Amino acid sequence: MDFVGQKLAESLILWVVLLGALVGFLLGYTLESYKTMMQVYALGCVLAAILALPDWFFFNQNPVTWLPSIQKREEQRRKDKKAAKATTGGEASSATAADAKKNKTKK
Amino acid sequence: MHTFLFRLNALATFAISTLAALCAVAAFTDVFHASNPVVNVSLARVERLHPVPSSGNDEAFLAFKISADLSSLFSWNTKQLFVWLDASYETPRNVENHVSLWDRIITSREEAVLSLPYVRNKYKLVDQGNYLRNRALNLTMHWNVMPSTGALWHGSKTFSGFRLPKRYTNDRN
Repeated sequence: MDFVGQKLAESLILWVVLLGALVGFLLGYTLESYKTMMQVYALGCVLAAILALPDWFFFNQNPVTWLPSIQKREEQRRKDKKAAKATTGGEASSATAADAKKNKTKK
Repeated sequence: MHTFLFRLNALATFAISTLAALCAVAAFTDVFHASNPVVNVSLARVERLHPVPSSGNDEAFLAFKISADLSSLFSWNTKQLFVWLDASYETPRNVENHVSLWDRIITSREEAVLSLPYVRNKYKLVDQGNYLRNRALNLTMHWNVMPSTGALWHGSKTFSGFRLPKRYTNDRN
C-alpha cells in the first residue's frame, strides 16, 4: 500500500463508518427501531472493513519510486562510459574519460 | 495505516468511538419523549388476615384490581419496564413500612396494557408485630423505565384510603 493509498484507506474508514452511523440513526429514529439503527451501523463497519482492510489494487496506484541502489548506480555508470567510448572513439568524450581516471585513482 | 493490523486497529477504535456517540445521541432523543401513563389500582378483597403461628407477626393475603396503560412510556430507546406494587402503612412500632407485593417485567408496548381484575399478592405482606388490624394502607404503583442506552428513570402513582379489616379473617375460597 503506497502513501496515497494509506490516505485513501483512512478516509474510507472515516466516512463509511460515519455514514453508517448517520443513516442508521435517521432510519432507526424514523422507524422507531433501535435494532435497525444498530444493524445499519454494523453494516457500515463491515463495509468499511471490506473496503479498507485488505491491500486492494486501488491502494497501489501511486507506487513510491526509490533511487536505484549505489551498486546499481555504479554499474550503470560504467556501462554508460563504455557506450560513450564505443560511439565517439575517445576525444569527444574527454570529460567522461577524465572522470573515469579520477574514479580509478580514488580506488 | 501501512499494515492490515494498523488499519484494523484504526477501524476498531474509530467504530467504538462512533458507537458511543451514537448511543449518547439515542439517549438524548428521550428528552423529547412525552409519556402519559394511566394507572388505576384498588384493593379488591382481603382474603385473609391472621397472625403467623410461628412468629406471631400479622400476615395479610390481599387481592388487587389493576388496570393500567403504560404503553406511552415506551420510546424507541426503551428496552423494558419494571413495574411493582408497593404497600405502605404506619404502625406504632415503625413509622414507615414499605412492602413490595407484586411486580412484572414488561418488554413491549402490547404487554404494557394491564387489565388484571383480580391479582393476589406475589410476595408476602408480613408485619413486624401485630399491627395490621384496622390499618390504613396506601398502594403505590411504581415503574422503572429501562432504556437501551441512557439513564434509568422512575415514576409512581399512589392510591390511598384502603383499610384492613378490624378483625382477623379468613375469607379465602
